[in-house]
Amino acid sequence: MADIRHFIEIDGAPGQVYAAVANRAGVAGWWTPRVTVKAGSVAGDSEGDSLRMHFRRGGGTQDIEVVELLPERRVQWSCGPGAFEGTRISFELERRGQRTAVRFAHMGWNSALSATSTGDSSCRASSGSSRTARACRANGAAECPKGPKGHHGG
Amino acid sequence: MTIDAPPERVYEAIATREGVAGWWTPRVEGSDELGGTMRMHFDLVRSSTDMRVVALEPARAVEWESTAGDFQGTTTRFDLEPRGEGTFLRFTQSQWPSASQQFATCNFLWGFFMQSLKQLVETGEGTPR
Repeated sequence: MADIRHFIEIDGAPGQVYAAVANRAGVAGWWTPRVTVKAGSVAGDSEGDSLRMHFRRGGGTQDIEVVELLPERRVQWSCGPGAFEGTRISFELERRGQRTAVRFAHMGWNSALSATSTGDSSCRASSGSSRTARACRANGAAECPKGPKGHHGG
Repeated sequence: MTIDAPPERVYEAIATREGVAGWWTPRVEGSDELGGTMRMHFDLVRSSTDMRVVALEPARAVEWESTAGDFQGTTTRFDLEPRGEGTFLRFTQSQWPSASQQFATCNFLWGFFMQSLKQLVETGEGTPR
């Protein structure tokens, strides 16, 4: 298992950062512009809601269940159908003066050597690399969804 | 990540001091030869890191061992593969002792600098800091 972890500080209060993560409209402002709510409230701001991210350029969709909403402190998601299926995502917020420290984690990846690519399967295209071949065997070469600008999602 | 340029051009941006200064930190001193050591200065945070060049495989791979500074003990590697008209770059910084706050900060920053590398090679202008 492998986890992605990011740490950043944001010039804004925890409430502002929380608002950007804890509902449908917030997420649509920085991740993928089209986010729908599969079940529950239209705003997607309740625990148990299920958000669906729609990635552009054939990137498919990703369902995310909102597991925990702790205002100004923590948001936890569990990933359902999509490339992230079975992984968990969390945002931990902490006030630092006028700023907010954000600890982001995307946990439960099968392998850190996962050969993701924007496009075709890495297994097929990189048979010359033993490192890639190992990674593909370990993880089945799951692809990342594409972000709004064609970057890897997550 | 995928870069819209052939591996030879991506390699130039990683394997030479001038290239690195175009996407990572503008102040790079020392030798970019195999076995040489480059010192990257991060003036914004008043720190530096020394990178010993331990692998140079034209159009295929570059590996650095960090011998002093922020990344001491880690290995940084760039693997390149042709992908159609472009390049698939696999970037790895390994041997971190733990998933510390510094690790998470660097992980975030590497994402920024990978985008800078991509822009440098594709457009001629990166965003070194």
